[in-house]
Amino acid sequence: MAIAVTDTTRKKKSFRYAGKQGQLVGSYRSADIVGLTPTMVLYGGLVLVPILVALVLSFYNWNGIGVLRFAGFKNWSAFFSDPIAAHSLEVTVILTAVSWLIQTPISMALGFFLAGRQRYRAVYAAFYLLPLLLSTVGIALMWQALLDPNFGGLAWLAQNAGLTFLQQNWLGGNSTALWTIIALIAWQFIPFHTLLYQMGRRQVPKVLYEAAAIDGATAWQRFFHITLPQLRYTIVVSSTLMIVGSLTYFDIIYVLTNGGPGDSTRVLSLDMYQAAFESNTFGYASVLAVVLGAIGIVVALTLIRLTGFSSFASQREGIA
Amino acid sequence: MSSTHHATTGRHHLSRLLSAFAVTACVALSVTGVAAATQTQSAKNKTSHGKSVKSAPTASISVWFVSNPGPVNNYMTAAANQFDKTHHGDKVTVKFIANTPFKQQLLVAMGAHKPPTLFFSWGGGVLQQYINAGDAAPVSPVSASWVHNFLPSSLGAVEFGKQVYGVPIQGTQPVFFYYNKNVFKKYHMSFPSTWSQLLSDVSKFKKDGLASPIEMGNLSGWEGLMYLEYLTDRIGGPQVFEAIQAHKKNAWSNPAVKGALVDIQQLVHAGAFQKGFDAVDFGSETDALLYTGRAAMTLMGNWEVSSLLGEDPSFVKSGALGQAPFPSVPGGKGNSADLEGNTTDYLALSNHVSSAQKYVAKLFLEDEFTTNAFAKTEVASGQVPVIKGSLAPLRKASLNQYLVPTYNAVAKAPHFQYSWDQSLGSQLSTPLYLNLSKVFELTETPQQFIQAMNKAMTSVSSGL
Repeated sequence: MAIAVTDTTRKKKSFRYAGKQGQLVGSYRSADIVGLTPTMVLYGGLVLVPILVALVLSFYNWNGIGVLRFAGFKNWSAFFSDPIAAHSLEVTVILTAVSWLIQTPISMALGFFLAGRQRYRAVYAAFYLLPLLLSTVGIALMWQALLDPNFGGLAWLAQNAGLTFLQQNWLGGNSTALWTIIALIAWQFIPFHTLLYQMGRRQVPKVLYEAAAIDGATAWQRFFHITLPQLRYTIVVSSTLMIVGSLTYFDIIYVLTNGGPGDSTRVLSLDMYQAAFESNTFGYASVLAVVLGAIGIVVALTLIRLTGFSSFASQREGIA
Repeated sequence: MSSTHHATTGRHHLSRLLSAFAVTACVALSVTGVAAATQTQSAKNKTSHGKSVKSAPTASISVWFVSNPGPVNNYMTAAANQFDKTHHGDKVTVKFIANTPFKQQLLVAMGAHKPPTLFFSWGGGVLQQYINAGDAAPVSPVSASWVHNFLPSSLGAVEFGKQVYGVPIQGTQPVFFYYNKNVFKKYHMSFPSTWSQLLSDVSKFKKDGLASPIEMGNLSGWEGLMYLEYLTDRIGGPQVFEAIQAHKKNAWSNPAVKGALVDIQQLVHAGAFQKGFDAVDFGSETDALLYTGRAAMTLMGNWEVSSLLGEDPSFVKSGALGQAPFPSVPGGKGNSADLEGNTTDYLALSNHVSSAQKYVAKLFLEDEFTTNAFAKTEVASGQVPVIKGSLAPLRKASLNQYLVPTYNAVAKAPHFQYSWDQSLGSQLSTPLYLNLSKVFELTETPQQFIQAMNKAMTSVSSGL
């Protein structure tokens, strides 16, 4: 998302510039068209066409081998009366909201810390960023081994180091599984968002803090009146990635719990996968795909709208 | 540097948004595939008419086989080589594919009418879907002579309308209780023969300090299903599931199903299973519970023997592993000799291949997989053949203390029920796994399970 938006800005600027010189205003030059063609072909083929096919398929019944049978709104009405899908949607929303609430402050705090000039900062950074280097399935299998209530590392600590609170049915308990999954997702993605915040924090001009210090601003005042407003775009980018990423999150859940116990970690993307590739009901799976895609697009657009991200007004007017 | 990194990872995140549509991308490909392949097919039909006049046609055929770590892969390759040698002009090519991708690849190949000549199948409802879609062809009528070489209960999953659609190519895999004899000895118990004894044994184990009397890995749901299959059959007999398989309205409401679910929850209430049984799959972790004596028993297909042999050879070789039939339920209508499990695996024949290929494929199946020589090969690789007269070689085999009782149980079973998930087909097995796992976790009552399954079956029957 961030990349696309950045492109738009550049384009806008070049238009304005072009306008001043009295050249083609608001239309593309042939070089633009040539340059955009590969992207548009890929985007069309890999994004737009599948969306359209999914939309069309959602009105058909198809098991993957037989003929397509027109079903009208049957799949859609089934979706609205399907308690499993409703529950999956609820789990997805909880996972997304809680993930954002947990990951944002921690990433921010770590990012600010890493943006500083403390001793051994780079050493800490290397540790914090480690999960970023591991593949998702690797992470899942590693935690599966650690969390196993019978042979796992945490169970071992509970029995041998007296840390009895670690003796939990982490992935197999109806009340613990979702929270465990949320914690693991946070563990996996906080490093990436930490990088974003570290970068954002470093780009805040020092002079702002110096001026505030002269005016006698406290640390909290500096945080709320300088740091947060200056990080506005970083927050939008990070939040968009977090929310859209959580909405479609699949891998760790698929490997660790397969949606269980029961359906307590069954997110909509898993529901969609099973509908398509285990139940072979591609029409219904397409309904779920369309719903998931629509939610993702609406959330992303809303975030950009609400924060005025699209206008890209300068935040540093008057600072050299 | 850091901005490049940002961009790459950003793209990675973006791709998640797109991955919501990954399913549909596959679908889109398959749809175009179907359209293109239908045209090729009609062209192919025209040419093959001319060929079929030949009396003994030759052809190259392909076999898609689910890769199986172990000797089965080897004898499949050996069978192909031997057939090539003895049948000049014919060529058999075997392609081994892992289980999960196999299902998807076969689906796409069938949809595109470009199937392998022979394909691996578990029979049952999934095979029936291919038959109904016109994608699978019969191998021969039930009256064919080779059919009588097999134990009758082994062909049930591939018999549809007096035709046989598959030939068994693997040993039979019934489900038994496997138990650690040392643990039973330690607690001065013998393996229970009735369900109520099993329940009281579980309580005794718990009282004496064994935390998890029964181990189970129910992450994907099929292990728990084996309890429901057996208990339903023991309480109500085979006809209960036959009605379900026939999609009779409210077939799940049969009191036998409810009784089985109540029994399952009793077992859970007694604390029979290890902590986290629903977050682990069958494998080395669950096996370890059994051979280390942290659990006393497990309900599992007879592959448990070879699995444990791989994990802890001394445990099996010392004779500490016991094998026992599922306990009877006194007062139940089912025969306590009935079996559940995977009757066997099959090779099935594709319909959209040339008639010469069909001819050669049938010859390959009959020559290589229906004889006593093949039964011996199976025994040598540690399997229990479903070919009649296999008892003698089994008696001489290593691990015969497990193989011989398995063969006898299959030969004598009045009814060998093929696993419900395979019998019902993919569309019903997903809600079945999901609702049953809730029953095991005590978050759904038997009545709620029955309602949910009746509803799921109605929506499948109505073509959704």
